[in-house]
Amino acid sequence: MSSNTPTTGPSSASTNVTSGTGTDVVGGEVRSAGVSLADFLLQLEDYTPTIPDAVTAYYLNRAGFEASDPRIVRLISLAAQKFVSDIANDALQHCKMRGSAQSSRKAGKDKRYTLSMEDLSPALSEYGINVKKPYYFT
Amino acid sequence: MTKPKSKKKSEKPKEASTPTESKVNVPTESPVGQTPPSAPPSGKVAPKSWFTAEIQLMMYTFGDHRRPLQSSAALIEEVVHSQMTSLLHQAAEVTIQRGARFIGVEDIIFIMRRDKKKLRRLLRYLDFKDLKQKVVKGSGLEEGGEVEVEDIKQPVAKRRKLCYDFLSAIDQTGELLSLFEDDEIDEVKQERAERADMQTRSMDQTQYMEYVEARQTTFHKKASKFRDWMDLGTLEVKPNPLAMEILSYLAYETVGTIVDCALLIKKDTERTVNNPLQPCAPHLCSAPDTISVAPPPPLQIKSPSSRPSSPNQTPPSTPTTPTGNVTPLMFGSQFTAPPSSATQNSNSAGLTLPTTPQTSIFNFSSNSGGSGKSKKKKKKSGSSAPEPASADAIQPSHVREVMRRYGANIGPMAPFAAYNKLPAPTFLAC
Repeated sequence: MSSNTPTTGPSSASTNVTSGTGTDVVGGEVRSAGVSLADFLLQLEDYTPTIPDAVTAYYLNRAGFEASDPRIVRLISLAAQKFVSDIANDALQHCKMRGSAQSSRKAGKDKRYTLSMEDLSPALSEYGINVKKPYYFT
Repeated sequence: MTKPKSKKKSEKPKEASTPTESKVNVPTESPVGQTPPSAPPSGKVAPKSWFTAEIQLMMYTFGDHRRPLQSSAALIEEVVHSQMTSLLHQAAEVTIQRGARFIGVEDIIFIMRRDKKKLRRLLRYLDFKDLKQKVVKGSGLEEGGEVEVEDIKQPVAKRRKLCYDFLSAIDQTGELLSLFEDDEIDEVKQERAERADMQTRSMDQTQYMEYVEARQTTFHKKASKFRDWMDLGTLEVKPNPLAMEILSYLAYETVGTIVDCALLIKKDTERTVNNPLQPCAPHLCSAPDTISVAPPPPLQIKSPSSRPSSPNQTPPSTPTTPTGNVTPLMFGSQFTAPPSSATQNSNSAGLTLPTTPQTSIFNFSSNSGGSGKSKKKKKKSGSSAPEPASADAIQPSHVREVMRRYGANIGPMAPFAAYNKLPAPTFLAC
């Protein structure tokens, strides 16, 4: 893993607009997805994801994968973090959308949003996770 | 997602029973476009052809044949209708959640928030409409005092303000708001512009005027008919006029996307001379009908008469009558670079538009050898003579393949992601 392919041009793998194939176009030449990931792995060395390495390694072991390179573990924990963060962002957008027509100038309210199932369910369903909680009768 | 597919399946037996439809040529100013006709005898309940003529014009401007097939246009109309209807229903749900009284631009933007490029295109379109409104208002006032100028400033950029307010309300990471200042070139629009350029390069005056007329066709010209087509009676909340305008723009974009992809698929179904393995390779298009589209007779490089592609880039003074003496050299130069990269690009994720210029689409005329001569004459002759629709136009099977590819889950993880498919209906417009 130490001999990665040399990169040409700025290491802007995250800001490149991929066209949906596995290819990026950086500086006019086409690179494959593997090359961008290799660059990204280099950038990852000075970033620690929120999920601890040990936790991710444990779950990887349960799934049958033994990670020899800690950077791979960090890459996967970053991917998991992105997944959760995307869902939370979506739920926040739902919440803000609900509140946008009413009470648009309430500065106090804008600081505190509560995550509720009302917002989380549609956000999750867009990712293929369907949850239904029973209504509570009091 | 199953809704449009089931409609397609019901379309197919109807398609098979009317094979002669494709031979009928449709004049551009057909009276069909004026009023919806009575129900066709096949037994369908709703009138089927509201916008078929307009869609045929739109297909022509996006790069299809001079006279697009009516069956293809009918299928596209069906697809656009079902997509816009489900978009409207989803927007109505958003409106109810928001607590507003009418479906507005905010709801449509909220649904589109996932796809940045299409959202950016929509925002630019709305900016342009604002600009047009400002210019029209500004030029309408002949007695230009300063008081009037102040007054005009209020209604100016109303659409932009609405979008900006809403997006700033829901935006958390700043990526949505950055779309307003984004200066990146829209690749899809660029490709369409290049394709239109190639298409019009060989046109004469009358043809070009006709093209210009066709290009101005939108769904919004007959706004009340569009409104009826959308059948708003079942909705709890109705869209406001701005939302209807945006919806007609999205319908137009949907037609554009379908035609873009159908042109790619048409290229896929054609044989290329350069790729020796292509007869052995599995079919790229697995929608049921595309395979049965008659493959061309096996090509040899030395017989140029089977591929009489008229090079559109050369000035119109080149002789167009196909002779057997067309040099193989000409074919060699045309077939070198584009085909391999084209097939390679279309082998990758199905819907990426290839970065090679779309000129290759016009170089690769369709291969039905018999219609070669008439096709060459077609490219040169004027608009007056009604010509039979040839195999050059987009077929309904291509449209079906577009829908199949759009819904297919592709990518490196696709074989392992069977349980991860997005359940929400994917719209072509967003």
